[in-house]
Amino acid sequence: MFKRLDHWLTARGFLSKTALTLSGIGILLTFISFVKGIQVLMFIPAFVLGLFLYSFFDVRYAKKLLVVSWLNEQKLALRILFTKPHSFCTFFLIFENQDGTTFLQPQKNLTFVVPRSRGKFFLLVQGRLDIFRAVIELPSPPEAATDAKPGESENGEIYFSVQEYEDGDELKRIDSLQTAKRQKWYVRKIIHEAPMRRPGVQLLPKILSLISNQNLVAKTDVKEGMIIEWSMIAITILAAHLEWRNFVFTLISLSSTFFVLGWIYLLKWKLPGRGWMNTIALLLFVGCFIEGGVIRDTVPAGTHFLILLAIWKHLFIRERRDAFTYVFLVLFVFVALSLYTLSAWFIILFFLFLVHSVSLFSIYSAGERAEEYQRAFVSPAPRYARLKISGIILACTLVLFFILPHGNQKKDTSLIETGPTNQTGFDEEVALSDVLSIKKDFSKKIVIEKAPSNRISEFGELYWRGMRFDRFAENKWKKPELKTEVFRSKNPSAASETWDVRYYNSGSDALFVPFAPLQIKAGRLVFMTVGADTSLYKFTEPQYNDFLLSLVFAKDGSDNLIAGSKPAFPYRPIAIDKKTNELMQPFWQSLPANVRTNPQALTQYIMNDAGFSYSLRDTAPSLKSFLYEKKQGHCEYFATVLALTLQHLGYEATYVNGYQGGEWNERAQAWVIRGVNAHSWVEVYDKQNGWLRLDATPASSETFFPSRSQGWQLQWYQAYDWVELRWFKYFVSYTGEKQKLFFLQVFVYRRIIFWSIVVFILYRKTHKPLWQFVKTSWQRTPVERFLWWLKRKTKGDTFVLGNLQDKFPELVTKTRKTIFGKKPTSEELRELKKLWKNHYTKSKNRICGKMKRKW
Amino acid sequence: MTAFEKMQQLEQHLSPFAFGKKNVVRLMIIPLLISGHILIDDLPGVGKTTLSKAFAKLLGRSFSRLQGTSDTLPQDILGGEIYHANTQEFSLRKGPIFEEIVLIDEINRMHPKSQSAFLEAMEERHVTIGTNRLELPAIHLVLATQNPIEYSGTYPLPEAQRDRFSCVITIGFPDRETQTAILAEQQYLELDQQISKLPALMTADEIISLRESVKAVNISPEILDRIITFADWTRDPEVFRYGMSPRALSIFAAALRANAVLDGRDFVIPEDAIALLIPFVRHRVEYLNSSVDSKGLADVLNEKYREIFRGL
Repeated sequence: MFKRLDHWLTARGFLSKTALTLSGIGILLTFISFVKGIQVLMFIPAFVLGLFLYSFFDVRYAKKLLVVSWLNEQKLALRILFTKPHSFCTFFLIFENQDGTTFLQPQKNLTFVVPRSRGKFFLLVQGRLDIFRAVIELPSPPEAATDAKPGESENGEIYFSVQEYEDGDELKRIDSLQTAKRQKWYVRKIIHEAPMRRPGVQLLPKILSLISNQNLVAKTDVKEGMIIEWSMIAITILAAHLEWRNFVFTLISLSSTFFVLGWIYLLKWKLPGRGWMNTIALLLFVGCFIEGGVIRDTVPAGTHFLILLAIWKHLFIRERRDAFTYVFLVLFVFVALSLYTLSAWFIILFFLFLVHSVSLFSIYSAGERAEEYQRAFVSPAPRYARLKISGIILACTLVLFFILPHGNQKKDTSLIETGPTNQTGFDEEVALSDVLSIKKDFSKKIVIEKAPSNRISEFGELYWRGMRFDRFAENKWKKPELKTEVFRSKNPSAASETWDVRYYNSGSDALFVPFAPLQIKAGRLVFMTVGADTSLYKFTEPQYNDFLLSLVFAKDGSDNLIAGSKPAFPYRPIAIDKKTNELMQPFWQSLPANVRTNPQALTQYIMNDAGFSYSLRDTAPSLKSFLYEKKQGHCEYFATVLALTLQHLGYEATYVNGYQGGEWNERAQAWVIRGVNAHSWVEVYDKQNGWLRLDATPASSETFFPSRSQGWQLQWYQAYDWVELRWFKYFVSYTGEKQKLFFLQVFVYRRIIFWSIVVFILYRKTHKPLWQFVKTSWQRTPVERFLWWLKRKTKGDTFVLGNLQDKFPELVTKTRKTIFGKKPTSEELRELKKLWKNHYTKSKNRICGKMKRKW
Repeated sequence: MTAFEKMQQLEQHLSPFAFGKKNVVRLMIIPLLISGHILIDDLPGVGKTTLSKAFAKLLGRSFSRLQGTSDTLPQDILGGEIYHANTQEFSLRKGPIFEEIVLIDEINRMHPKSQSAFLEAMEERHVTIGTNRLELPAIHLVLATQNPIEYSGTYPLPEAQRDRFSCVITIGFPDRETQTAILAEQQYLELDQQISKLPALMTADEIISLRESVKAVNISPEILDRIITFADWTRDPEVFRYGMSPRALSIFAAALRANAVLDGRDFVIPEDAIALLIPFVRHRVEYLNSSVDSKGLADVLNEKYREIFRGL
């Protein structure tokens, strides 16, 4: 097998080395995707396969259009032509004899002047993406031309030849394939050395005069290639920035980019040699290593290093292999980022990257060295054509993503957990400004992706409970001492309904649910059923990922918090902290008598009559200030005052943090709860009514994001959410199981799909010769039908009768006279058919008879 | 001896001057039968002028020769009105264009303004000098030669002028045997003497009767249909800058008929075009892809012609 692969990869093989590299990367990432369960990574294998497919058909198409002819008049030359203009091909003429292999490049009008010596000629047709190649063995040139002395080449533009190694040859020019094939050291000897610098991009006119070299190939393709590389760097930095939102990182990336570029361009006449390059790369690595060890995580630092390396590589793209290395460096950055983030930003940038890399591939596949771009193409490729290839390949990638087998990992979250973000909030203990800090965050926290449609109107009313606290000390609420069952489904055996809820990087170990679920499921895994502690749901450690849970609720529809449920544990009064007691005493004493026995009345009193007012921006700095001085604050103060007062009055009251509210995203058909919707309220046990939820905060529409909550900005955010939710639904969590479901759905339409494929293939196969035949058959004249018959009978081609003239001269003359001389009658044609049948079968029998006798 | 047999004799007589290339001889005769004109485009020294002179001699028509120079003027070609001082009148002097066979040597050395003097004569077969409209003889053949390798001091023919020539002939190098013969017998130096010994074979009436027989040749509708398809393809703006004009198409069809007559047939077969396609079509179309030269264009045209005639 390896022998065969080796054969495929030789100069005359149909695969390029790029194909090997690409398939290696594809297989590696498939493996990672299967093991780690990151379905998005399957994009890379799909992309690679898309490239392969495109290249395969491109080369086949080019081969179809090709006309090759030997010219033998003035000099021995080979000419290549297309029956249609086709700009996506390069050619090499490979000449092989016992001395070695010679690669010849075409001259301007696609003519090869070939060496006048005996050997084998092959034409290598190379598509724009050099993955597959077509190798056509050419018939040997006409005899007269090969009379000349062997080895003499007449104006031959030899590109390079592979010769045996001699002392003093550069080691990097050793050709591994030829060496392996011939069991001797072989090197590539370049006859035309390309200039070692590239054209500059017209970014700054002043730098331009420094960087543009007049002797350079002023090829628009190469210039465009440089622009594409630049924008790829920009995309990568942007993607990394959006992931970490760390301005220091971006600043370092950008400034080092400009530093490196400026330094290189200003000192360009003293370009460091290879040794210097390695030293600088090493320095960059050490810098990033220190950055990783000292400043932050290793992975961001590693990514940073990759970006810098890509920038560095970008300066030295001269050969095809440099371009490929560059693309792969950037690809690795994206792979590293995909381990972190799965946001919509990432998707957009990732697709941009794919488009760019196709363009870059297509530019640099044209030739191995800069000078080749000059005459590589039949005609300069129009820009839209490159976009067209990118489009085709991306479409292939999308389709292949769904078709390629996916792993069946349960985990649909990202691989590495990011460190805690700077938000505090829901934790072991909370200060009175923690909810406020979450309210400054506009990002998504909880999204109801799927719920029964009759519940949609209730979403705004739901209180998503996350944490409960019952002890207040030193201006902080602390974890409850009591284990209290707050609520339970009234009727566990009732019919159930399922909500699909996605949770985003909450940074805490709490699970936020609106009321008591019967079950909580992640994929097929059920990790909570009725009977456990239903007061709150907790993970063993804080969650920094996004994950999707299915919550199963009883179908009776009521908010079954409190509704008659009684605590399973005996009531125990909570001892209030001494300092708090002193602080609260004046307020408690001022309470009117009628609210002291009724929790609901007390809530109304605090909300409306106690003189407190709601404010987010101009909020009181402490509880003391809220009670007696400023009397302005947000939900946490209202809930704290209410909870402490109820505890003082002898109720079992807890302070609850969570989310309340949200907005309906019509486009995505989902309910989105953001950080803005963080809230605090109180739950209390009333002996007559059971558990009650009390919210003392007055209604207010004040937010930190007045503009984002309305108008076009809200529209934009909703559109962004829509993209992200689709992305999660169809790509991130597209596991093997979902794929099975997808194919089952496809299976339902199997007949339609089958017939449409059959029709498509038939159309593609026949739309040229047969399709035209069918289209025109009703217009065909009897003569044409007769000739068609004769053509099939004699297996002829163009000029049916002309080809038969040598064999049956009389019959051909007669037929011609009949069918072309005047309009033949059908009887005449019938007679002719008979004549031909007789003659043809006779002659066949004659030959076969001879053969029989011989045997 | 019938006109057809005389024509075959003419072919035999002419072939030594074309180094035995039957194809070239055939291409010389066809324009005569379809009232066309000939442009011989080849390297110096392959016998362009000799061939033309021999051809004119064999036909026995009145003959004039004009050397293209950079200061040739339209008057030198068409003639003009000359003022006589003693009679104080203008009299008309006809130029060389009024002869039946006009050989214009190295036409691309002429200035474009002189080249364009031929336009009216070649297409409409009359010449207007001053206010006089003068008809040209019924048999009127312009034989021009040009040399493709020189650029300095020459003016390439414009498209319209090229289109006036019904065919462009390339003679090419003689094969080995012919060259041996030429060198052994030292014929080359005596060619002029040989030409002067040639008999005049045809009369004007015979040529005109042959022209009538060309018109009687049948082209079957199938072949016509394919030829039109071919012409339509050359008009595809994605492949050609410009394609065959209707005139080019009708001349091509007439040439096919004439070829059939010279083969002794009264009907056209698809194979007639194999030798005629390039001389009659290539100079009338321009390929869009500039990197393809005329040789390459010939390959493309042949390929497409075969494709269109597949199955016929």
